[in-house]
Amino acid sequence: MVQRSTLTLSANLDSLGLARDFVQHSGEAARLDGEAMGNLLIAVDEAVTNIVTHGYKDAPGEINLECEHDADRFVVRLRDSAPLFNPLTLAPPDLSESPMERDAPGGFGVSLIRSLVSDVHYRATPAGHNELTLLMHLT
Amino acid sequence: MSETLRIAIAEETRNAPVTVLQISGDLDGKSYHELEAKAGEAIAKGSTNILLDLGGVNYMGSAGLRALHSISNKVKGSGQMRLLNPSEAVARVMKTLGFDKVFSIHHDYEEALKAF
Repeated sequence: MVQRSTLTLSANLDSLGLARDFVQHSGEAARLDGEAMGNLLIAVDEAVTNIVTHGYKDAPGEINLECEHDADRFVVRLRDSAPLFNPLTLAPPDLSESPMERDAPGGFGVSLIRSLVSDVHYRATPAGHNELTLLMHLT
Repeated sequence: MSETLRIAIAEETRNAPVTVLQISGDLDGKSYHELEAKAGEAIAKGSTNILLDLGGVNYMGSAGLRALHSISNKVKGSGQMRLLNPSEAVARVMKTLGFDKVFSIHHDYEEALKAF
């Protein structure tokens, strides 16, 4: 049986804790193990941070979070109305460069997301919203 | 569940003076400026050796790593930044982005203080 829960947040950095708490609560209901939960919380936090700072560019807006799970997978969908942009098209940062030689460890949000979840997808919805889907396999 | 960032500061001296920042709570895109600011105040007052006790950090994302990187660069040349007891949440991000090999990490308070 598929279980689904949703939360709409104001698009600002004050919402980061609320987003993590919502996903943690949903993840506990799905019995995510500690490592999967930790990885998913980082991925969601990075995705929300990117929407606030790069999508809305700190202008007012909303982010809709949807958690869905069944016996095999846990899915988080993040929808926003910022200008359409697929973050997965960003070139990955050069991790071969010594970390301390980098100007600052910025731009790593998408790399973290890719590393920490089983799969990630982007689509522009028919209604014209950005939708990022984070998927964790449960088996 | 999410926790507000809290930072306690102590001064210690073993082989050299060390400013210890004991950090707990969530180090995310909203709060990482607070850590940068606290460390920046200590450095402006003359601290060159910074020990960040991360044992109580409940959550850290790439923004927290940005703060660690910034503090490390500020004391580079005059002193050092070292890390104590990175929690699982901290270790996860550092390892994923390759920072676990470049920061000096300790698991014992006295040993960390004597390393400066």
